[in-house]
Parts: sequence; structure tokens; C-alpha cells
Amino acid sequence: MTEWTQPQKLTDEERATYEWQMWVPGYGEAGQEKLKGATALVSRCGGLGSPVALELAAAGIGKLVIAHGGNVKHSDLNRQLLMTYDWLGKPRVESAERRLKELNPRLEVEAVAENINEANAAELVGMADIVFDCAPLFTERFLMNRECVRQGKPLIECAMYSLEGQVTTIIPGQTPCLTCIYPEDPPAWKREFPVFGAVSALAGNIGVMEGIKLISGMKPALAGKMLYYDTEAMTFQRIAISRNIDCPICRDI
Amino acid sequence: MKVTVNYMGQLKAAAGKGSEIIECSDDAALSDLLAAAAGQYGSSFVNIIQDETGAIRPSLIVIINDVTANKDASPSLSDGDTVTLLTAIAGG
Repeated sequence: MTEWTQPQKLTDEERATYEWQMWVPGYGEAGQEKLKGATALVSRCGGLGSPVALELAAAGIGKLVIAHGGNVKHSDLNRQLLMTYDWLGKPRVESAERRLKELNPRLEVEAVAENINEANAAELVGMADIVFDCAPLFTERFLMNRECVRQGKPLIECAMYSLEGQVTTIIPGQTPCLTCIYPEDPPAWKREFPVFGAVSALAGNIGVMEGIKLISGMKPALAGKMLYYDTEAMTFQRIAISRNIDCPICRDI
Repeated sequence: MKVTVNYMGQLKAAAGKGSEIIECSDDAALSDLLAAAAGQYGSSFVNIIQDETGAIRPSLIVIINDVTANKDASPSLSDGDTVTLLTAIAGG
């Protein structure tokens, strides 16, 4: 799963910065070089996407494409870690880019002040080696899923609600796609819902580790499986999920 | 027989609880259990698990004893089973 990234040699500063994670067995400097050579699309940069982008930046990914429309609101600040109080009323992607660059000035950021839509989905997915789905609307999620299947890009699905989260790793042609799992736009899903930032960050961080493992050549644990957790009871469970042979999105691959 | 049902996501809010034990007939299948659960709660609960025709929604994930169930086959249940109903969630 590493042929879609071009490893980049590390500088001395990068070796010093990433020393602790390069000690992880199976990762090493080779894994770090692959991460440096990778581009990830993160859409959006809210309760899920903020920690995803932040951890990818901290870990040393080479480039992030971040897509998120609108301006920072008070109600963003309980969970959208890339949004800051001083940026209230200003574009979210500007706040996100500034925070990411403060953490990692070597990071290349392509900031797009739009949410995923029919007009931009193919292009934005095409800019990335891997996609992190952190969007609130299933219309956006299904668009990213469709484009990832078309373009053969892995898609990390992160989701949260209230005290719960779900994460799965989609590898087109090998695992169920999002439409296999959810064949319809779920009628009960609402744009605004209860959640704590720590719950969404947990889902995002689990997704980041799946992405880092994929990029670096380590084995993802959630390909064809869904992890769901409940932080009220502190239960974590992993179930096998299956492809739908009649799936209108991925049945032909 | 007695089956433990766990409600996740929006179902937990709609039911007002995360888990309960439902008594079913000894030959009950998944569809019978879901009908029994739906009969206890209001439309917000029912709309998450059933469409307008009463069919189980495709977006509902059903787990029986840690194994994802084929909803369309409405598998038989056994005394002591645990059924978890997982709803579709996203981000924000």
C-alpha cells in the first residue's frame, strides 16, 4: 500500500523532531520518509478534522489539503482545535492553516475555503494520496467515497456522536466502501448534534493512526472492520463489515 | 427467551437508555425483536430502524453477539443473545 507515495529524505532537523516515533518498531526512518512524501486531504477541519490535521502535521506528513467553508463561530470552539478565539468571524481555513504552520513550519498546506461538493470532490481527492473523511453531512461523505473508489485512494472514515465514535478504513476494491456500509443517506442524522471535543478527537486520532500505518507500510487494523466505542461505558468493540456485491459505487472493482 | 438489546447513537437518545432486556417468544427472529423494540418507543425511534413500509433501514447496523448480522435474512435469536443496534453517524 505504499506505491502511491514517493518517500522524501529527512533533514537533520526532521530526524531530531521525529526521533521518538521513528523508534516505533515497523515504522523507523523509512516510514517517516514515506509520511514526508505523502499528501492527505482532510475534510472538514471541525471536531474530527482539526485533531486529524493537527496530528498529521505533528507527525510530519509532507502536505495537507484542508477543505472547510465558513467562518469561526463560538460553537466551534469546544472541539475544533484548529479554531481560535481571536479568529471568531474569520475564515476557518485561515485559522487552521495558521495553527498547523505554527506547529510545523515545514508542512505544505493547501487551504480551500469550501466544503466538499459535486464540483470540487474529484479535484480535491485527486490532489491527495489518502483522504480523511471528517465531514458532517453524508452528502459530502458519499462524494468523497465515490471519488476515492473511482481514483483508488484509501479513505479513513471517522465519525462521532454524543459520547460515541466510529472509525473504519476503506481501501477501494478490498474493503466495503461507505455506500456498502450505509446504502442510504441516514434520515435520522442531523447537522447539529451533541458531542464533546474529546470524543471527536478520539475518533480522529484513531483514524490518524490508521492513515499513518497505511502510508508507512504498516498494516491497518480497521480495513474491513469497524471500531465503535462508547465513552460513557468506556467500551471499545471491533466488528467485521462486508462488501455489498450489489453496491452501486464499488461493485465493479 | 430474554435478549439484551444495546442502543447506540441516536437510538440511545430516542429510547432514553443504552440497554435493556426484551422478552421474546422462543422462536423469535431479529425482525420480531426489532418490532418489539419499536413498539415500546415513539416515532423518533421507529424512524431510525424502519422505513415507511416497516422494512429495516439499510443504514442500521445490527450486531448479534459481536458478529454483524444479515438483516435481510432476519436470523433466529437464542436465549441470552446480545443484539447491538448501531446507527449511522458522521462528524462536525
